[in-house]
Amino acid sequence: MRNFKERERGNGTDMKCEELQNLILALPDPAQPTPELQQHLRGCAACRAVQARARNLDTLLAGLPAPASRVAREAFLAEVGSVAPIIASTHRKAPVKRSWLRAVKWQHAVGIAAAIFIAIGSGWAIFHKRGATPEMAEKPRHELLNQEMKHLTALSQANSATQRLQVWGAWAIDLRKESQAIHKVAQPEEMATLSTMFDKAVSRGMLAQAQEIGLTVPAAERHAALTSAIQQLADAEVEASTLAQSAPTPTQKYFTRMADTAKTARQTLNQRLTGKGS
Amino acid sequence: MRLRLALALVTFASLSLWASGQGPAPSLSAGEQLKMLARNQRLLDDLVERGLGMSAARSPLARIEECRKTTDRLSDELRHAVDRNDSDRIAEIGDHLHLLVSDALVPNLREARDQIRPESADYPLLLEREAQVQRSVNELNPLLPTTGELSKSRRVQLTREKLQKAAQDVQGNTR
Repeated sequence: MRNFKERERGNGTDMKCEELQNLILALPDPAQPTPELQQHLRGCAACRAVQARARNLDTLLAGLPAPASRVAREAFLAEVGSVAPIIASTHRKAPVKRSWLRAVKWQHAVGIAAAIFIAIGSGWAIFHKRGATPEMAEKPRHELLNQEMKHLTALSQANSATQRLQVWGAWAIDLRKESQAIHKVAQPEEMATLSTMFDKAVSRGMLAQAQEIGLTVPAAERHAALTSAIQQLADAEVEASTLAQSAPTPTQKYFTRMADTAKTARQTLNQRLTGKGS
Repeated sequence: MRLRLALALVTFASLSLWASGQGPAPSLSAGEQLKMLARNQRLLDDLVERGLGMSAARSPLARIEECRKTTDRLSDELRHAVDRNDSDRIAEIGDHLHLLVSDALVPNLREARDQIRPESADYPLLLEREAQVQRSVNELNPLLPTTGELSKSRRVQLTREKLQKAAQDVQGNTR
């Protein structure tokens, strides 16, 4: 009824009789209409007739052993739909055109909302940055460059020859990996650079640090560090020798050079380890 | 049915958008790797030299000097990347510079400050090195464009933020 009052206030006398008649039927007691309905009933014979039918119906219903609730009453009305066309119309859903909004079930609405949220969120996360322009995915970065920067940083904080030897060992391994990755398509210029870098990492990096270890570090630590370095160099030697066989002819000499560098360094470290070197 | 199809399509499009925003696939072909090596070989070789210098440096002052040289070398790369309008390369070099400053330079600046007191004979040299390195780091950000399409790049903007942070870190650890 509150809705009716509000709507009636808003729409004045434009409210259709059928709506009002349905409201009369919805009253707890059709004999006691609201003041607004009373005002309408005074000037509308059709609605007064409906009110009379409703009062009559209520009297009949009161005589039945059914519960007096509204639900029970409506169920009954559905069964006795032939009583009057207006009564039937209160329970038969009008064949009105359903809007697309009503056609959407709440589950679907939640799904749509979630999908839109994801789409907007993803777009925002990827593209929004204080007016930044949308960009394609970042190109791959050179892993060897990444690793070299990490090794350089590690060296800046290394405070012993053992630590520095480990860093140079890892650096040499990364150079080996790069050689291994490109060996089938290797070009002389790039391979010359790689083999030169490998030579520096081994001869001026590993060997220089190993020499310091020989002078200052306790025997057990020295032995472990040198043994590990020797193993790395042995692996490098075998790998470079193998790659030399499958690399393009113009670049084979660079792999051979890397194998020779590793072999020489390994022999030097072996001599240090066994105490035969200086 | 149509609703379900529409929902599925929207969800799929969202996930595709998200996936395309992720990082690149880790594996590269030998050809791609060779191209990278060709592009970076001089820088890589220079970094090996800087590494050897860092290995030989036995004091924070000497390591600060190596950091400065490396900063200047990377600064050259940054300049070239800007000249080529290459936002990817700018971001890459910017990250390396950020790493160098935060993990190598700043710790050595702190160590130097702890070790070298104003009454020390090395103190004037420390001030000189600090000024040099501060100048080098401060020169990085102005290399990035402030106008034009490149300046609107998200990667360039992020790099600018990182380099600003790096400059502040150095500033905060020098006298």
